[in-house]
Amino acid sequence: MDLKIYILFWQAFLAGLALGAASGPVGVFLILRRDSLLPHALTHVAFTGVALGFLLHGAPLPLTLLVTVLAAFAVMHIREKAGIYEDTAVGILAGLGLALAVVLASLARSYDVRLLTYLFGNILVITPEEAFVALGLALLVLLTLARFWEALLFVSFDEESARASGLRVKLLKLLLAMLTALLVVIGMRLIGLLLISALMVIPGAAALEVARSFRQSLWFSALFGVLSVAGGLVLSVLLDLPPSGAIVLFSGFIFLVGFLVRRTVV
Amino acid sequence: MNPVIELEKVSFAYEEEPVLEEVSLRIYPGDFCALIGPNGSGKSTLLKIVVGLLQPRSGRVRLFGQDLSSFRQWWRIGYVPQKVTALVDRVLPLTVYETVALGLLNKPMEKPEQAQRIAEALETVGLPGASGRLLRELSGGQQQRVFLARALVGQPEVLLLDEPTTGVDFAAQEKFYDLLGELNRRGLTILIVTHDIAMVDRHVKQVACLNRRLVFHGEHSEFCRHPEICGFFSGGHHILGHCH
Repeated sequence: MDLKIYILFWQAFLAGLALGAASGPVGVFLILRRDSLLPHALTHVAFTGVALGFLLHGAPLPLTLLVTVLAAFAVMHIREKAGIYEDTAVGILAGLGLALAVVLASLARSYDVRLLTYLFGNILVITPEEAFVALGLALLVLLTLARFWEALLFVSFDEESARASGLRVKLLKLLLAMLTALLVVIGMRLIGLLLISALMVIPGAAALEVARSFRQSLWFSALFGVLSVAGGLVLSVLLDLPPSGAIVLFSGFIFLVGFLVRRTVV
Repeated sequence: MNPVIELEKVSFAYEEEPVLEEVSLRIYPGDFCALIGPNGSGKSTLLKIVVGLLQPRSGRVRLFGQDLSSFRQWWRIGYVPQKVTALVDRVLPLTVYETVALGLLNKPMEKPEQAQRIAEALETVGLPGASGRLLRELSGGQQQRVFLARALVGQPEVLLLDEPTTGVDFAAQEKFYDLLGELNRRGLTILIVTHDIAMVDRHVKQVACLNRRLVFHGEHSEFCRHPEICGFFSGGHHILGHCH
């Protein structure tokens, strides 16, 4: 293999592993908060950012990051202030995000293969810059989790007591929404907007099946995220499958194993 | 002696529905006070105002002499909310240790000291050696005591409990109140919202009766000398039987 291609492959592979390691633990908190659909809604909004990038002839990544983080703020605000059900807020956001993206993409005349690379992703064709940014942002998510996981657990598990103990609950909830937004943006080129939410939720759900402590569930979810990316990439190379689909299908296989193990062993 | 909790003409309403009207109440160090009243009388609302979860429409709240808006020493207060056992589901693999450790988040310390504190708190609530067990595998009464350990682990000076024994069987309730009595004798100030009139009669020192307004606040023995209040707030007969 050509040295340049070899380096490119390893950069992408490492970025993918970092994304897998960060997605699983964030997914555990989202599941715990019954908020598994939040990343799904944010992917729709991220699509707006991509379309806006095409329309303005700018780089889609920073614009998408901005739009998705703003959407995470908005969904938090709507839930706190508007007095509507949480899943309704998520449904409204997802629908409006996608509608706006379709209109913007049409205006930008960008219904072509470029758009598809953001919808379905392809970890094997990302640029070194994209791999570097993805790796950096995924590490940032992991470091943030390492610092705040107990506070996030308290807020996710027993929000009332967390508030009564003086924790800054609104900020922590916002932090979780922002971490989710970051992972959506990192994942859009690697896994694709249509599948990145699955990489957050499925390894987290698998970890909760088999863990015997919350700390263990975080470690397992990171491990399962990494295994999903690694296993999916191997499958995609061996069987000539689309990498993003193979990665998510592999995570589904891990969940199935965890599901069966819990019901067999426990 | 200065009160640890002081409410001065506190009023609160959910939209236009008044829940509390000009409630003034003082809790002093060493008190073991039960807050009783019919459903919707504002008991839980009052407790939530004290811990800053709700903002009163008017009036003042002071904790340890400080206005609630500037109070930051939350480790001095332990809080056990209502229906905590409902938070425990079969999906979450939370251990007893991890649950109790959450009570130390506002009081950072080294890991060995934290482990020592958690062991002591579990010993206090009668669950020594349970730290590695999963919360979801414990009985309702045991879970209740784990949440009490979480409130105690920061070594608070005041303990606030909102109907802590709801859904727990009589024997577990009795054990729980015995434990609260023991903690009170060691110096912990306790304010408890409860419907368990029989437990109130046997264990607490002071009673505060709420029905939007504070109808009575005083020593338990004094409460028993007011059959009209006592009968109304105890649903008729239970407490009268014990008092006399």
